[in-house]
Amino acid sequence: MKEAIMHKVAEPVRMIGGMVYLGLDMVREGLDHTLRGFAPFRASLLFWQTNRAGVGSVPLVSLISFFMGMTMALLTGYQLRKLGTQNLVPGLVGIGFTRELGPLMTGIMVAARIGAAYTAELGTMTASEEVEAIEAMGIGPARFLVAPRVLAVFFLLPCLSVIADLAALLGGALVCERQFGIAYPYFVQLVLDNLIVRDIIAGVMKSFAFGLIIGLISCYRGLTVKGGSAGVGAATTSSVVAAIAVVIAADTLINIALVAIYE
Amino acid sequence: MNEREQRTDEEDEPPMVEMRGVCLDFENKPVLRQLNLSVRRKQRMVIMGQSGAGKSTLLRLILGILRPTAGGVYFQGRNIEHASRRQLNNARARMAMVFQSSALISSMTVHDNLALPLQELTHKRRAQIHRTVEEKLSMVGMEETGALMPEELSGGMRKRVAIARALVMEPELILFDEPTTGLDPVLSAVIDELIIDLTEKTHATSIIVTHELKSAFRVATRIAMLFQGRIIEESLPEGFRGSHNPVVEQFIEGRTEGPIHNGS
Repeated sequence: MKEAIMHKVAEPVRMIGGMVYLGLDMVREGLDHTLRGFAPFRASLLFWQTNRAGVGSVPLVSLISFFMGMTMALLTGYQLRKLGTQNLVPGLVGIGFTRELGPLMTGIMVAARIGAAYTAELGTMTASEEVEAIEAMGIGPARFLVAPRVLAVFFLLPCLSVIADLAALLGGALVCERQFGIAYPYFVQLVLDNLIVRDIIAGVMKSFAFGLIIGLISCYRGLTVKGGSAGVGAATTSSVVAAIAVVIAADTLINIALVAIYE
Repeated sequence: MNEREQRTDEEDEPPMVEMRGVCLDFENKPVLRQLNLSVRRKQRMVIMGQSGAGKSTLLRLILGILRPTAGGVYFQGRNIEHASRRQLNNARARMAMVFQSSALISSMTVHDNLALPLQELTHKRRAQIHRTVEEKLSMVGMEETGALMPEELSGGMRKRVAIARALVMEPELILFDEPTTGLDPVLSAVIDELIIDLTEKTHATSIIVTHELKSAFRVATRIAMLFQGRIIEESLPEGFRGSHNPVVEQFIEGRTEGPIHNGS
């Protein structure tokens, strides 16, 4: 019993330690390779991963955010209309998505879509000794395999968050115009009046943090797969669960920190 | 320089690989215990032993992928454990390993698999890399396969491509992990002859891990037997065949009675 509890406690600690080590390893291997006169990693690999993580996620992120924006406008609008303050809806959708829901929903969607793919891919490579073969050649796997993936999701998540925000505002504007009689130019005006730079910066900063978390968790889980194809399946599930949980936890912590700084 | 002087020179050089008092534990279970092994230049050292005896583990120690719990692993006289990341990667670039599963990168073509170490670790131009890849593929009789994906190849073809990939960096040491396991007898003989031919042509030293007797006696210039975490016999193939060590005798004869029990 005691051992089982210790194991449960030790696992997350080991994972956090492993992720930090992987991140440092990635930087060290990249620097070492650069000092030897090479690019830290192939640009083509970064572009390929960026295209896949970013462009490939645009339809899913846009669609879900569009519907989320519509739902948010509908739910808040019906309540606020009773008080005659439905004009607050554009501001609510704008601030809610820019600062909170945009980065968070994008993080969850990317963790499910790209994080799972990274873990499954690297896990399969680990199980079939491909990662070990790369290491045996003297090519650092953290630099060659992990760096392009982590950087792609790190830089792409803020871009996807902005797309999510715009899609949600579009959905919100549609509902406001149809249900509450707020014309599109007036909707835009109300959003701009309520939105402050601090909200935009907070959203972007969160997105960078979520990108790093998703990239490191999914790659770490993939590289530590044990037990063949069954192990790859288990690692993929646990990677998605862990990434989503850590993204939500990080979101809360960042919110607490932001409130402490600004209020 | 006559043959005698040349032999003295080779004996003065540090061994290509030396393992001194190597111990390795996995989750408190001892795998290797005080293992000593020395492999000289241009030797083809075959390491035999039961499945699960720690033979593949030994190759991973030489590559520095695993670290010993105690003792030292030396490559060309330098302790692998004390090497910095850069020194270790430099040492690995002078070694090559042919994995049991071939371990070709499944998302790359055969050509790109061979080109990978050249692109990542050398400043060679694209045309030079292409020439080297073509040359190595033709050395293993796989000239026409450059554009194919690994999944389109048979087991024997994959093994040949893996050997070609091992040769592209012109390594001084090649490690073979069960190179003929799972292949039919004819293909096994073809791979064995390829190993002999290529190591002689390139003057590379090789360590071959196997439990297949026919293959071992065909390829080896020296044979070592790994049992219960130690090298219990190391000699020329003829000496190994005539050994009176009960473990070696039982292993060669494939008897069920003797000091070797299931799993130990």
